[in-house]
Amino acid sequence: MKPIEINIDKISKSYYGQQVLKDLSVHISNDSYYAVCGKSGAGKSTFMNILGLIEGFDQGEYYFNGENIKNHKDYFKIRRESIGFIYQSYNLIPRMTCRENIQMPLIYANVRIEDIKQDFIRIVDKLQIEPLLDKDSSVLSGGEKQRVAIARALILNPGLIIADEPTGNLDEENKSIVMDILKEEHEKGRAVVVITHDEDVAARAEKKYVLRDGKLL
Amino acid sequence: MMRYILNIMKTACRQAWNNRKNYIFLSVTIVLTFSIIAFYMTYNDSEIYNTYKYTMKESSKIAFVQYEKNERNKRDLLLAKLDSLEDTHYYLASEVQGITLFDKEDQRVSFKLMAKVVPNHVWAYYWNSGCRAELIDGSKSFDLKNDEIIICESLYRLIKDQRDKNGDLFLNLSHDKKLKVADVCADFDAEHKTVDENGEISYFFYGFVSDSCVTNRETVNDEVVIYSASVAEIEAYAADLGLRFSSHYNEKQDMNREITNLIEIKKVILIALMIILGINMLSSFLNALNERKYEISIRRALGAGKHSIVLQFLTEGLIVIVIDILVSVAVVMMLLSCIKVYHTLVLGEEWIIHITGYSVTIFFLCCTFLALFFSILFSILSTRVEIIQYIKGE
Ligand SMILES: Nc1ncnc2c1ncn2[C@@H]1O[C@H](COP(=O)(O)OP(=O)(O)OP(=O)(O)O)[C@@H](O)[C@H]1O
Ligand SMILES: [Mg+2]
Repeated sequence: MKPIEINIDKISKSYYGQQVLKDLSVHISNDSYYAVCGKSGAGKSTFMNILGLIEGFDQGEYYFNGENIKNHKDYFKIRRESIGFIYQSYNLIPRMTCRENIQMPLIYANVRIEDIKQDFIRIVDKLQIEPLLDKDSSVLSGGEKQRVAIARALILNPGLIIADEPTGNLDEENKSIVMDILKEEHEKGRAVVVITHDEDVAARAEKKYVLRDGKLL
Repeated sequence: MMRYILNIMKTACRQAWNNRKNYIFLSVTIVLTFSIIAFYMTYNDSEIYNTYKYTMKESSKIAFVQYEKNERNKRDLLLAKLDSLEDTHYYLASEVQGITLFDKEDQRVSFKLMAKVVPNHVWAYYWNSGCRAELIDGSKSFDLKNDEIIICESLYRLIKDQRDKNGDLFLNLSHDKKLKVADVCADFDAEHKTVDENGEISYFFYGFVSDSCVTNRETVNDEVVIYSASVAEIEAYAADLGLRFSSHYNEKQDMNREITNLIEIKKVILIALMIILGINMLSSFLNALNERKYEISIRRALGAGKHSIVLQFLTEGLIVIVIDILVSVAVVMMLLSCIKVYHTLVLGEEWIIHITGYSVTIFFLCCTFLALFFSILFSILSTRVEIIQYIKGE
């Protein structure tokens, strides 16, 4: 796992004239465990997409481990090696089994499944998704998809975990499983940024931000 | 590196299978495209072949010069000319008309033989595969003994059960002569059956005998059979002498011209077909790609580089196209077989499926071009997908 050092300085983003983020600044490193709250439509997902290097921004500076992030470049290597993204809508590939979905990042990182067997078993056990592994991902329930998506984000031991509403679809039991996992991963030295409406989840974080008027407060 | 490529190709195979429903839609277009092209090429080949099959088989080096009994001196002049030409062989032949073989009792039906009388040793062999029995090749020869005959297939079929205990087959020529069947040649394509004014029906068969076995008979249609590299020159000389000349030389020249023309037309139509069908295929590929944009953005978001997306979709595209090409070939073979059956059973004529190497080459060039073009296009377009546009952040 690589150490993480992120500096975001006065980033702005607007869609067709609608200003979503405005001069947003934040610093993230291995010891960060941030929760981001905010009203629906405040721009939380937009912020996460920019942070996760899948969306560009209009103004400002973004340094990821010292690399100055530019809009037109494709940072697939960083995404693959350093970021585990848990999407609000899971984004599992339909018509593929859960096992294939979880193991997909291995193909691109050119890592053999045998080499991370221990991690795989640990994550699957923890998330209690063993019985789902050979099912088609599109037939799962929301909560099941959520847990499979989390397993996929963790499989390559990323330095930064970005979770957009990871507990939105989970019952109390599963929610605490996910919160435990995030906490545990953080304690291993990973940076965790989690978007949540849930007070319990926010309370577990070390720092709670509110996204309002395009800024993190 | 190798493992990486193999893994991506494995993924591509899995995904080609997982997305088979989408690909079946795409395949319908591709199979249609390739089938139309392949069918056009092969049907055209077969049509040309069946139109010209007799002409094609005939040698343009063979010529016949016919002479009357009173034109022997002209014939000798011609033979002297032939002797002076390089690479030229000839022999004298004639025809015996209608030797009665046997009559059917109580019915006025008789079976007659039209025999071509040739020397005992002839430089050419009789052609055994087409519809006409002709002596075609100057480089080969055959010997026919005095008591031997070569008969045509339909006569052979009629008498083949009458073999003696040694397994030999004999043919009785009008009760006085018995000839041993040495071999069988192809049927003459002329009508075998004639009916005279008394209502008597005669069936004519064709055969070859050597001249020493029919010396006492009146022969007709005396001719010089010539094999030569300079047929055109011989034609001019025969015309000067006033002898009747025939050869397949001109026919063959006409045929070659015609075939060249047809190939030119074929090229134009093929290019037009490829453009029309290519556009059709393009839209199908774009459709297939639309179905996959979500998957592509997920893969990209999870750290797949563009090259791995290219590789995956290149592999998927090639798998689908290669399978479709095989299916198309099968479809076209089936279609051609149906046409063959139609010609044989319904029209009652021979129709041979004939595919030239030219067509096969062109078809596979077309296939390779379309396959590479579309799979490369498919894979390049696959990287144009904006991650954030298709990935559902919400
Ligand atoms: N691609 C886009 N084009 C235009 N507008 C967009 C686009 N993406 C987001 N927006 C707008 O930006 C604003 C912020 O969206 P975002 O998805 O970041 O909200 P959010 O804070 O994640 O909300 P939620 O809590 O409901 O998930 C919204 O008003 C949304 O309509
Ligand atoms: Mg959101």
